[in-house]
Amino acid sequence: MAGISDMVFTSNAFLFFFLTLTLALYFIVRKSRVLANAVLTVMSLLFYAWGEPKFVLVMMGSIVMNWLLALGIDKSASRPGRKKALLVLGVALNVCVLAVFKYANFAVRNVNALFGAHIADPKIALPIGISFFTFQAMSYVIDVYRGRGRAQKHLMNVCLYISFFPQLIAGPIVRYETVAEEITGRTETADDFCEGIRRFMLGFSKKAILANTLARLVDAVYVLPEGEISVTLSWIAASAYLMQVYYDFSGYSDMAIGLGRMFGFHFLENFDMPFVSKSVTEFWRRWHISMCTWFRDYVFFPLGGSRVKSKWRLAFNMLVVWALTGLWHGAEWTYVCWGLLFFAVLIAEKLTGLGKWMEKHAVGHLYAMAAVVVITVLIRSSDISSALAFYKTMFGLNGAPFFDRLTLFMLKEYAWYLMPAVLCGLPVGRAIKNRLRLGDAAWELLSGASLALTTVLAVANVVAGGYNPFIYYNF
Amino acid sequence: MRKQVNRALAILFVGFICLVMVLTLAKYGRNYAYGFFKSYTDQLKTDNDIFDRMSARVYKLNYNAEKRLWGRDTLRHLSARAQMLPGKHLVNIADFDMVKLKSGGYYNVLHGPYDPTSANNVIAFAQMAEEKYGAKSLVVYCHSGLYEEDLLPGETDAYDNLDDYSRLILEDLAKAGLPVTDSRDTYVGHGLTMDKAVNKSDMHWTHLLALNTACDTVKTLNDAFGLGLDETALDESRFTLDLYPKRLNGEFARRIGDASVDNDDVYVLYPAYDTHILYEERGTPEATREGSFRDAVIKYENLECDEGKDYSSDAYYIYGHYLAQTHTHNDGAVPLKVLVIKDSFGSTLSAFLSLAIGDVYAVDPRSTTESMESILDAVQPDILIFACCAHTLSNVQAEIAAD
Repeated sequence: MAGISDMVFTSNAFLFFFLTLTLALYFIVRKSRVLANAVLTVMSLLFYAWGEPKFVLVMMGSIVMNWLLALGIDKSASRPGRKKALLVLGVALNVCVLAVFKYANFAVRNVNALFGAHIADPKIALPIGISFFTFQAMSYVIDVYRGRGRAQKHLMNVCLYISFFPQLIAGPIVRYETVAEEITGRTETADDFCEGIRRFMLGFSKKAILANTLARLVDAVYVLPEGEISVTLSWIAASAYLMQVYYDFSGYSDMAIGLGRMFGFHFLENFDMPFVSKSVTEFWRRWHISMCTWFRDYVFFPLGGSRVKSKWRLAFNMLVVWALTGLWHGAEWTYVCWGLLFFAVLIAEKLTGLGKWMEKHAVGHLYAMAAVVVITVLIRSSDISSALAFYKTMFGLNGAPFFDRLTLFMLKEYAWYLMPAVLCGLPVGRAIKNRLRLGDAAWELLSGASLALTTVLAVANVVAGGYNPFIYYNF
Repeated sequence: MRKQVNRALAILFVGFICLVMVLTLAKYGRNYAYGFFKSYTDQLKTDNDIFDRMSARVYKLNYNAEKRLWGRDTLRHLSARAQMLPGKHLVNIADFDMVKLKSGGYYNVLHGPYDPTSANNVIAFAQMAEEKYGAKSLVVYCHSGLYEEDLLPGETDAYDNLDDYSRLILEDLAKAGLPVTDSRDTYVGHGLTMDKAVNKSDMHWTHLLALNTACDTVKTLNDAFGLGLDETALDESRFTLDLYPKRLNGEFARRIGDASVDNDDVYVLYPAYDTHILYEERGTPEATREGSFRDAVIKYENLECDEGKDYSSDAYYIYGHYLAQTHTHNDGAVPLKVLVIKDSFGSTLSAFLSLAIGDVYAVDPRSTTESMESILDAVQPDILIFACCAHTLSNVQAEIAAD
């Protein structure tokens, strides 16, 4: 059946019905922690089922499996061998879930292509958000093993941690140790609730105004054949795509953090002004922090991290992390190459000292952004050959004109969105406050009024049924 | 101060979403309930399971949440105004980019390269229909908006691809030997003007252009397949024309606000000669009417003004709605079975074709859960007509290809 849409935060169904109903139910029963958690769990399962009910079974299977494994690990405290075996089993089973639902089609296609085999495409549908909830599930088992959180005796609490709707389909990846105590022992306050609403409004505006409009520009360019894109337009589109992903992803993270806070949860930040970075290394310290720290703590450090004797070993450890990072984003070669390219740049920065040098010089901004823009083209392209064709255009290797009427049209149409997109990605708020010599009170009033206005426009855009792509289907 | 500001924002935000929910349910609660408990079944295929039924109910809830929301029009207009404020030409509403033409009307821009798959799927479906039932095929190309040169503002012509798309798809169809009626030829051939041929407030052609294109379609059918259809049955001079001045305030106006665009005149055309038609409509709700063309086919209720307004938003649909599957039977016409695979442009065309063809079955592939192949099997037509505008042509072909 065509036309069924998942429940995304920027939809009428979520904003005016699901959120309203969830808030009402939650605050009616909030004095009973068990009932409050039950409301959040049921609503989270409903949220997930909204897109494709069948996949709730996959997620529930994963939840029950990880609940039992963590209980087993908890009970094996005095038997380290058994405890470790259960951990290994847990990690392996979670990887298997990902392998089957996310990578089986990809693997079969490649085996067929490489060996001329004729294995039938299994055509397994990808459950939305599977990478996010599987990583959270693994985090639960590993953190219980490491003693960084208690195993939950009640299935519902594990279910709530893994399926909690704010971070379920687009992150951030919330580590179990971050919220272990809050699942059963959180306190909701009016200040937290209001701060959460404010954060949600900010994220909603980022997504509905900036990300969606930039997506319109990007998609309009990428749909064109190679010969019809000028060099300038290709750079505009590539840069706009990076900003689209940023405002989409950080907007979702803001909304998730805000929603969590409304219900008394305190999630860690996921983005920290990545566009001020002066090296690619710094960029990745500021971009999708929850995923980076997940890979750092659960893959990179167990491999030995950077405290290894040889540079080759360091390179190997980083290669593993970045190949997995690429694959985590999507079961396509474009994502793998994207991860490997970042690995190449990061290891070069580390081994040559380029990264540290760039971070001390202003030119580092240009270098870091150019590198990230160029590499990110890969994940916007449908395949490697399309990406190569786009690179040819960007670097003027296919005879494309430098500038044309279409470029002029796109610039005129989208200038009013590109400029704010650039500015909002930089720490301009403080600069404006200082320049206008505003006191804290005046600044808060001004920023609150601006946020209210942008939220009205964002809600209007969503209700108008404008362009509202969901870019996490691969994740 | 931050705390006070946060509290004010929270009160406004929560108050707003609660207000919209309550007023929406008060106003449209019955529609939501009807979709959830009853009409969700129109999304189901015959071999459905519990998950399909859940998905169908969710679809209906989503659909209603998108279409029936208190304050929706006001917010849509606000969105449009905000987009136009910085001098933008493209206004993105309801998943379309529209621009204001120099002629004063609006137009949905068609962007992106021509994909030959569209034509190939039509050709393959036509070949299959001929092999299975000996059905001959014809394409009616319904051009939208741009009937004159230099109508697009600024550099929008560098972005819009309608003319290239039309040229290329018609070339491909002609190469495959499919006869084509092009509404642009009708526009020129019948000496029409933009005012008479294209609505300003709505994306559709006028009924006048639809009638003349239907007339040309019958001529093409006769020329290509020697069917002996009565061409004079669709001659404009044999029609009574009732003019409803400034009666239509269509989809474009609904998107941006009724004050932002002029209302359109509505031409209601029906034969001045005697006719007797049986008209059947499938879907929700089903309907059967019999009588003269005027009584059986024309839905006068769509001409009635919207509540508190001096115009109708639905006046284009007096000859049929894009969601409907219709069948017309006309004893006075050549006994021939024609299946029209169409969009909303084709609805009007199909209605007029019923005056010259014994049985006309019209179906919109975007709105039916039945496959086009199963409909073809059920109808077993003598003639297959594809009647779409360029904007929906590729979607229609995707539905056909999916079969």
